[in-house]
Amino acid sequence: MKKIFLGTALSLAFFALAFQASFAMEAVAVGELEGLPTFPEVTEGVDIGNLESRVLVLNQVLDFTEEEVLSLLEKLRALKKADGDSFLFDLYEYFEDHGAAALTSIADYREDVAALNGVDQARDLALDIRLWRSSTYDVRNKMLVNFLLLGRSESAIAIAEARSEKIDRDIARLQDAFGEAGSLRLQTLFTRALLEIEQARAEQSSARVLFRSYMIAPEGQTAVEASLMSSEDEVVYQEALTDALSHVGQAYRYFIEMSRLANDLLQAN
Amino acid sequence: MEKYIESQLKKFKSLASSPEVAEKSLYSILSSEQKLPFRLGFRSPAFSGVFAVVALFVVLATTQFNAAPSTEVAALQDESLTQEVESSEDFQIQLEEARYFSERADRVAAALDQVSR
Repeated sequence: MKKIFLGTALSLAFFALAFQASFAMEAVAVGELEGLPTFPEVTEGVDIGNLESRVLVLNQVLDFTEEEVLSLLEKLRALKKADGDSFLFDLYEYFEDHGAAALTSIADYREDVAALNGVDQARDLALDIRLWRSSTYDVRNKMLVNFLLLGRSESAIAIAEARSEKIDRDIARLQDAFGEAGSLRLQTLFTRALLEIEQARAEQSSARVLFRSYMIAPEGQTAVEASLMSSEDEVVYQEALTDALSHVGQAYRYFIEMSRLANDLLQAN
Repeated sequence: MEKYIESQLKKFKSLASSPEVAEKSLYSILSSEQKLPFRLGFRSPAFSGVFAVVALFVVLATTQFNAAPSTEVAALQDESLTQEVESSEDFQIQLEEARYFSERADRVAAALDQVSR
């Protein structure tokens, strides 16, 4: 009999843990970075040698860049589709153009690599690609990556806001069923959740202002162009978005606490 | 013919085994070994199995009952609440990716520097 009781107790503990785990937001494993390709690290000072090995590296760079562009464009499309109100403005077109232009440049460089004749030409082409990447591609790409984050944070906050409105209506509707004390407890949790969403919104707004300051129309032009975001600002920007995400997470923790309390109140009353 | 059948049936009605035979048969039935496919004692494996299944069912039913959305407070209980929580994992991954962006760009630049030397 002892075994049976032990087994039952273990089953109960297992299900209780499984139930809790499904709501555990802290336990988000990032692990392997999915989606974007990685590039192998090169050893400094190694002579790369003949034309063949130089061509190999150039092709590696172009393959990696193409894969990166395609992956980012796919994320951009997904964001655009999800962003029904098109809150992020006029910028989709800018980044779509950047992606298309990058793919064209990559195709051109591939032709150049195929036509290479001698190590010197390979050296020059490598410099060309290096310059293109640092002056154009990396600047716009960096902004695209950050743009995607801004869009993602916007949709997370918008979803949380929509959820809070629905909850607000339900609590008001079921006030009698919860009882006076129960309603007060629910309302307290709800107020805390709202505060978290507000803080998320504030963090996101500051990130948005910072982002916008790097998307400017150069003098004499009307079209917007990305300028290189400083490393310091990028850290500030990404931290603001990380904080926004953590406030949204905290709001959901309150919602889930409310959900349990509402269940208990409805069963008790 | 009918009268004959009737009289035979009356005889059947009065048929009964002698008390000695009845007692003997009952005794032999009770004393014979019972060959059921399993034994239902508290310590038997079959009982443990049945108990475990019932306990699992009760635990599952209770857990599901607590977690399942009741139609009354839909906004707090529907599955999309959990889905919304889970979708933030994706955001976290994107944030990590963005942090590695510059590192990736630097690696490519280093490779190109090598080719241009």
